[in-house]
Amino acid sequence: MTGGGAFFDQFIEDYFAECDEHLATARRALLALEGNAATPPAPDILRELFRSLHTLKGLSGMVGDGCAERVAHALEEGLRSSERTGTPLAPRFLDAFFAGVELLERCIAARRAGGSSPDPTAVLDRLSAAVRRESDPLPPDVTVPGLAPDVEAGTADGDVYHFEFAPSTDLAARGVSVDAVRARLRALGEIFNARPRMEGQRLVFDFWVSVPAGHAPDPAWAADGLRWSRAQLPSPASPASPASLVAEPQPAAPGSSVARVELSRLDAVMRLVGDLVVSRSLLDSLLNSPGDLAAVRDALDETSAAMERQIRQLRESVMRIRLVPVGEVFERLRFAARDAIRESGKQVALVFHGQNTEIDKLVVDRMLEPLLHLVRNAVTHGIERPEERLAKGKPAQGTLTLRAAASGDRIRVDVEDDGAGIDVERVARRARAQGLLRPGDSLTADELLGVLCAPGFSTRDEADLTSGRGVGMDVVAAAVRMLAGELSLETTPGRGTRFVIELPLTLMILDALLVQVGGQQMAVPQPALREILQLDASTIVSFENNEIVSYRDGVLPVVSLSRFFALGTARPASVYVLVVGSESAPMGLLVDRLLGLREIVVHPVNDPLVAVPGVGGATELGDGRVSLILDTAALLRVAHEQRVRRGAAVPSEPWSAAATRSRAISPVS
Amino acid sequence: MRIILIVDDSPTMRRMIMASLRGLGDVGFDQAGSGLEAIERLALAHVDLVVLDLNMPDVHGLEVLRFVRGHERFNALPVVVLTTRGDDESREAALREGASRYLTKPFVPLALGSEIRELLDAGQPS
Repeated sequence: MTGGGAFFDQFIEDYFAECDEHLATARRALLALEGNAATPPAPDILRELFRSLHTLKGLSGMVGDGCAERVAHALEEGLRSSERTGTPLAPRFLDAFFAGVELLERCIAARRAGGSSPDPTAVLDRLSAAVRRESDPLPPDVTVPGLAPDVEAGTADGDVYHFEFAPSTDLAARGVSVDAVRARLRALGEIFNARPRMEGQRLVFDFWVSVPAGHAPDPAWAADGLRWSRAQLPSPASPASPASLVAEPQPAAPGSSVARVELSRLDAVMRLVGDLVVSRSLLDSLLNSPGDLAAVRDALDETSAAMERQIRQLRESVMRIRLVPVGEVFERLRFAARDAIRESGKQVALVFHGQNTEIDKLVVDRMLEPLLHLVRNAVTHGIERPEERLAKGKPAQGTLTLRAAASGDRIRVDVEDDGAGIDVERVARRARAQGLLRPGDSLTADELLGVLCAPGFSTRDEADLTSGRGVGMDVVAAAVRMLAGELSLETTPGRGTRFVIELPLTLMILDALLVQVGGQQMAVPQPALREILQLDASTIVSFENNEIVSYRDGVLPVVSLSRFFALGTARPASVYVLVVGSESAPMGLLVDRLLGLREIVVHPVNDPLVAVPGVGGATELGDGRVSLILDTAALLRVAHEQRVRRGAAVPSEPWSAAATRSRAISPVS
Repeated sequence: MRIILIVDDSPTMRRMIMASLRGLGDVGFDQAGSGLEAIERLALAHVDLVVLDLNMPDVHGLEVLRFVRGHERFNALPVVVLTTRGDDESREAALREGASRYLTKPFVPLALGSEIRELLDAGQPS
């Protein structure tokens, strides 16, 4: 393989991000090829697909992902051989390709999750069988996709312009590079030819662009080193000039990646950072002002409040950077729905609305699985077979609509089918049979969803229950809950079913230590933890109504969380102390048990009636249980105030370290 | 300082190449993500050596190489073609067009570094 594997591990996150982008491109290209399966494949789409696979192969090789490298290579070779034939792609070939890209995705996902790679043999065999059938063996060809000119594309309606761009360091410093110029020209029309040439010592780029009727170059471009005139097409008969004809691929729909950020969003962040710098220097000058600090207390308060506001805005701006269009998820759903539709033998049209709705990248990734379930269910259980639909006076082809829309700080995604609807009475019968519903009770609309999403509720063994939605619905409900979202359902017999998922626009996800306190589970954000100690409860010393333990060469004030939250005072013999706070003023939080580290989604507690000092939010643990998230900074503040009120400042005399014995378990930070 | 122009359409790959060559010491980097951009960087900035990918979205690496060798101003520039393994038929074409070295990805960082060191040492110090 490679001797550089470990060295390139430092780029593994870049690798995953770039893979996501290329996989999205490959999926889009395959769907486009399938959509026009009757005609020979469009060269620009093939080129785009080829390049994505090629880059995936190259990068996978670098990070030692042998599975992904092999699969990408096989796909690339298959594409290469099919390109030579220039005939429409056979369905068998396309199917093998879809399977290949799906496998490639699984290889990369396995690497990401640290699991073992899937076995590629079956898919690779299928692929090579499809390719053998597809193409005659031809001698290896030096012509690589990317060189083939696509001149006919320029002869559409409108005008052809010839642009000359002479780059210079001044222009480049102003951001006017050949790439920037190309982007402008792409926005204007279709570039069908680009070539560099030297005019003496000066470099000039020639672009030929076909511009749709009614559009023209912006006169202001003349100031950016661009000259242009209406032009004749360069003769397609003489494309062999050494400086090459260059086929320009169609600009791809914007892919999504953690790394791609609109400049305006970065500008907003920069502005806020600037504000913070100003605030800090103000703070500095206040702290250095002559005389008593109490005299400038008001000004300090004001600055602190300003900084708090700026930090909040900064956080919001950074959140906005993470927003990506939901359209990418929709494309992946189309990809998955394709399989389900083919297997079911039904006719289903997929309709998307609101692809440009933006949503947190973190939410997007976690939404995919539940949406996949809903889409598969709609195809398998919701939409009827063509003959059944015709008999009901519906069109043979069913429609599955996915709709995304943002409202305020929430986003709503609808998955709607025009199928048979859910037969509530049959679900109720099944629920009674499974003991989920008391005999004689009927289901209200609200309870219907609850039953469908109950773990273990299944209609799988009743193949004829066309309205059955039990399959995997508990997974969907759990995933939506985890994301602080809500799932609802509307169904009309004979007309169809609509699932609605409402989610927060952005999410806070953090690593937290789950602990147990007085029988309750709580989460402590991991970054707040300095150290964890385990000690005998008997070594905790009471001191004027406060408790302390020995710590390092001094003492550590501790707060019993069960007492703080009034959960009772019973205490196990052996307890844990989470050391939080600053180096100079640490404090211990006393808990009964440690339950482990978890990645949690933070649900903010906004309701003032529910808000409790020391609680920063809540999180859903996936099994339906809710756990409070401690806000250690607020907790410290409150605990300190209580301490002061009780008149017990922490003793300044170091206590004998021998008085109690504590064992450091792990320095967490 | 010797300037190496890294031409590859994958930003991750560019970062990997630069990280591998940082050990060479007194080198700086310029980057291009497409063939046209590579030619622009060559014309506008001083470059001592080019690391060139072949499969790129606009101009194929071989065309960039042909442009470099076809113009006196860039003629003597060492060009290392660094392409993904499996395109073996392009090795011959690249060497015919005047590539100084033909190396494949995945590459070993130290091996890439020593090839490039050799080429830089062979040229005149700038």
